[in-house]
Amino acid sequence: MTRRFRAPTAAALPGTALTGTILTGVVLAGAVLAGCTATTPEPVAPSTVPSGPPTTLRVLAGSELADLEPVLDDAERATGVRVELEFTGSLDGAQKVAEGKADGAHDALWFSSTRYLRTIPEARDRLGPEVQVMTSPVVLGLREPVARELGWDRAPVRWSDVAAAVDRGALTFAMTDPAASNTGFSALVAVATALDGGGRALDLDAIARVSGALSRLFTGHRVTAGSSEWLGDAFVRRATGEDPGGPVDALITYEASLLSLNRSGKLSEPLVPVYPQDGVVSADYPLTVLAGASPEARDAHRRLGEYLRGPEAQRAIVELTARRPAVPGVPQPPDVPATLVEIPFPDNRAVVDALLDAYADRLRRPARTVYVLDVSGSMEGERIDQLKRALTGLTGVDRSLSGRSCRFRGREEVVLLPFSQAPGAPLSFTVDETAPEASLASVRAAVEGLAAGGDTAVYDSVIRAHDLIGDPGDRFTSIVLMTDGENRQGAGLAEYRAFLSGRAGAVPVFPILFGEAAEGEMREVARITGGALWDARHDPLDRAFCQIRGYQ
Amino acid sequence: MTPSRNRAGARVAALVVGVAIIAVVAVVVADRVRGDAEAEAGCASSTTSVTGVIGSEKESYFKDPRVVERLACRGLRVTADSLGSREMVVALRKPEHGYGFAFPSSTPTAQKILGEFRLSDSYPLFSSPMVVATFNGVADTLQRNGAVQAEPDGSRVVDVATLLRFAREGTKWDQLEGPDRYRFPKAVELRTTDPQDSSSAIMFLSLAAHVANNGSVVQTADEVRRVVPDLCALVGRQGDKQRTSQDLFNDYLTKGYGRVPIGLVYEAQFLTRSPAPVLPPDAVMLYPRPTVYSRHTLIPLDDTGGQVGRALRDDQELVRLAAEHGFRPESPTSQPVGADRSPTSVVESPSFEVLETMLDELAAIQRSGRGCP
Repeated sequence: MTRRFRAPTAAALPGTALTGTILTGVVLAGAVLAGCTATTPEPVAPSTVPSGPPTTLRVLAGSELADLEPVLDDAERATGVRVELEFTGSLDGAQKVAEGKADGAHDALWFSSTRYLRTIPEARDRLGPEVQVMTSPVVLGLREPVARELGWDRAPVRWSDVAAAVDRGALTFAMTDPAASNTGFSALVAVATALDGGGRALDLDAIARVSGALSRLFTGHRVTAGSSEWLGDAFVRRATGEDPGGPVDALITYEASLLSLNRSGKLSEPLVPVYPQDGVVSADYPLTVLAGASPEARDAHRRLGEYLRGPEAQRAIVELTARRPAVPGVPQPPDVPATLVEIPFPDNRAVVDALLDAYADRLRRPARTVYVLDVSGSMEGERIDQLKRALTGLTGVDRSLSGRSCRFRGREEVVLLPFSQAPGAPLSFTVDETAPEASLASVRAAVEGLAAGGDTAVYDSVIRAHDLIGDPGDRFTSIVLMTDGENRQGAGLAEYRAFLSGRAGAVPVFPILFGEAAEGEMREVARITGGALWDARHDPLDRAFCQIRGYQ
Repeated sequence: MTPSRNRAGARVAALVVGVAIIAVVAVVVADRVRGDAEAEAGCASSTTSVTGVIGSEKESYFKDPRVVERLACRGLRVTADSLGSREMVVALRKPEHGYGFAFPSSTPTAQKILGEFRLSDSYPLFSSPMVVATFNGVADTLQRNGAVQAEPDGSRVVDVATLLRFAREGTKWDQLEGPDRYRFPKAVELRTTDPQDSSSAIMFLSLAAHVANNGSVVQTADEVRRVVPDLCALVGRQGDKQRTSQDLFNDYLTKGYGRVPIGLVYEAQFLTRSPAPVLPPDAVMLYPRPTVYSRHTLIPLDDTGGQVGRALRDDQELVRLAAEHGFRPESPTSQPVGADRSPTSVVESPSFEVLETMLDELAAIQRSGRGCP
C-alpha cells in the first residue's frame, strides 16, 4: 500500500475518521483480491493488451479510487504501467490544475468527473485525452422503515416527491457540500434541474426559479461533509447510535457506495436505493492525461486506459467496487436498474458558480460556527500570525478557487472565542446575505486584534462554546477547536465528557492539531462529538481551516 | 433478435470445425503473405516511428493489429492520439507537438488546419455519413409524433425539421404520445458531442443550420444571426456533452435511452466489423434527413506523415481494412457491409469561416449562462 499510494499529507485528511476509512478500504480490497487469486487458476490477460516499457504514471486522484488497487496491480503486470496515486479533494485538485501546478508534478488526473474542471477555461486547456473507466449514479439510500412508510420501496419516486416529503417533515438526509464534493454537487444539479422541470440544462433564470423550492428542500439536510466517504461513515455512526443526534433518514451518495455499504453489514438493515425517475447525475471517472504530459506518459496512459476498458478489468472493477462498467457486454452490478434517465449537466462556469453561490449564500441551511482559538503565550509570534492569516483567508480575501468557496457565507453566524487561562469574550458576527463585505471586514478586524498571552484552558473554553451555540434552531452548528498545547487549566477531558452526556443536542467538534497539541485527547474530542481531527503540525493552518468549511 | 444466442451458436460451430480450419488458414495466410510479398517486393526491413493526431472515431482502425502490421510492412510504426477537433488544433499549436500528421474527420477542420498552419498537402481517404443512433421503441414514439418519417423506399428517416420544431417549443418526451417507458421529463433533443471540441457536432451544426435556413447552405452573416437561436436550442440546452463521438456512442451502447435516446454518430461506428459494436437489443440506426458526410482527410505535417497518407490511400489491404472498420473509402474497390444503402438527402457544410462564426456565437451564449435567446 505504501509503495503505490503516496501518503496524502496529513493535513489533507479529516483526521482519524478518514484515515481510518482509507486503511479499512485498502485492507478489505486486499482481502477480496486474495479471494479472487485463490479461486482463479491463472489471470488471463487479453491478447490485445498493449504492453510496453515499464513506466510510472503519476496520477492526482480522488481518494475513493483507493479501492481500485487490485485492478491497478493487475494492470501493472499486463501493461508495465505502474500507477502512483496521490489523493486530494476534488476542489483542491481542480485548483491545482487551473493554476498549472499539476503540470510537471503529475501526468494524469483521476476524479469522479471532470465536468466542473472543464467549465474553467484555464483548466480545460490543460487537459488531454480521457478514458472513461466506470460509472456510478448519485442516488438516495433510504433507511428501510422510512422507505416503507413513504411507499418508496414500491412506487417510482421523483425529485418533487423528495421535496414534498421534506416539506411535510417526513424526510431528513445527509449530503456532502456541493462546493467540495462531487456527490453533493451532482445531487444539487439533479434536484435543481428536475424541480425546474424544463428537461434541459440549468441556466441562470432556472436557478432563480427553483430557489424557493430548493431552500425548502434543504431544511431537511442534517449531515454535511467535505467528502462522501466521511459522510457515509457519519451516516452509519448516527444510524447505529455511535454518534449523538439520532438516525438520518436518507444518504445521498454514489450507488456504488450504497451497494458496498449494504454488503458490508455495518447497518442492521440495508438501505433502500431510490433512483428518482426524472433523472440522476452520474460520475464517469475519466482517467485524463494532462496536455503537458511527456510522450512516455501519454503512451502509458493510452495503454493503461485500454487495459482498464478491457473485459477482464471491467469485470473486476464491477465486482470489487460495485460501480457500473464503462463498456457494453460486461454485466452490471446485481439488481441495479439498467436504464437511468441522466439529468443534463450545466456546461459553463457562469451557471455552475451561480448555483454554488446560491446554495452557499441563500439556499442551504445556514451555519453557526464557534471558533475556539488558543491565544495562550505559546502562540506568540509566528503561530498567531499563521492563525490570523488562516482566519483572514476565510473572509473573502483569498480569490483562488478553494479560497472563494471557503469564505464565510451569507446568513452564517460566526463566533470567535479566543481563550488562554479562561475563555475570553466571544466576538459574534452574522454575514449579511446581500452585502457580505461589511460583515467580513468586521471579522477581519477582530482577527487582527487577537493577541497572545497567558495559560491554556482547553475544555473550559470548549464547554463555553457549546453554551454559545445554544439552541441550533434551523442551523448547522459546529465548533472548530484550534490549540497548540495541552490543557493546563480548569476542566479536563473527563469533565467535558460528563458535560456532553448531560446535553441533548449534537454539536460536532473539529479539533486542529497545532504545535504541541495533545493528539490523543483531541482525537477523543472529535470522536465523542461526531467531528473529525485535522493535523496542521506539518501543513499550512489555512488549509485545515479551509477544508473544515466543507463540514460546516 | 437474439444476438447472444446467435453468437453462442457461432462459437459452438467454430469449435467443431476449428481444428480443420486451422490448417487451411495457415496455408491461406502463407499464400497471402507470399503473394503480398511478391506484389510489394517484400516488407520494409526497418520502420520509422510516426505519431499522428486523429479524431477518436479512427482510433480502433489505427489500433487494429492488421493495420499496425500492414503499416509496419510499409516501414511505418504509427501511434495515434485521439482528440476532438478543437483540442486537435490546440495541440498542433504547441511548438514541439511531435506529430507527423493530423487526421481530422471533417472538411471544415481539415481546412482550418491547412489554413492556420499554411499546409497544402492533403489526402482525402474515406468518408462516413452522420446517422442517428436510437432504439426501435424510441423511433416508434418519434414516428407517432412526426419526427421519424417513412421514405418512399420504406426506410425510416429522422426529420430534422421536426426536431427543430420540438426544440423551439421545448417539447419534452413526456409530452409525446407513446408508451410510458419513453416518456421521461427531458427535452426531446438529439444528443451530440461538444461542437467546441468535436467534428461530429460540427457536422450536426452543418445539417441543422441548413434546415434552420429553410433548406439552403448558410452563407451570409445575416443568415448566421438568424439561425444561431435555433442552433442554440438544438445544441446549447443539452448542457455538458461528451468530447468525442466514441464516448457518445459508448454512452449509447452502455447507458441506453435514458442517457442517449437519440444520438448523432458516424455511420462507421455502426458498420464497423472490427469489432462489431455490442448493440443493445433494441438498437436501430436511422439516417437523419438531411444528413452530411464526414470526410476524413489526412494532412501530413512532415515527410513521415506523407508516407502514412500514401500508404492509407494506395495500399489495397489498408483500404479494405478501412471498409471493415465501417468507413466508405474514396476508392470504390472496397465498401463496408451495410453501406449498400445510402442516405438520399445529403447537404454540404457551410464554409469554415461561417462555422467558426456560429461556434463563436454559441460559445458566447454558453459563457453567459443565460440560456438560448
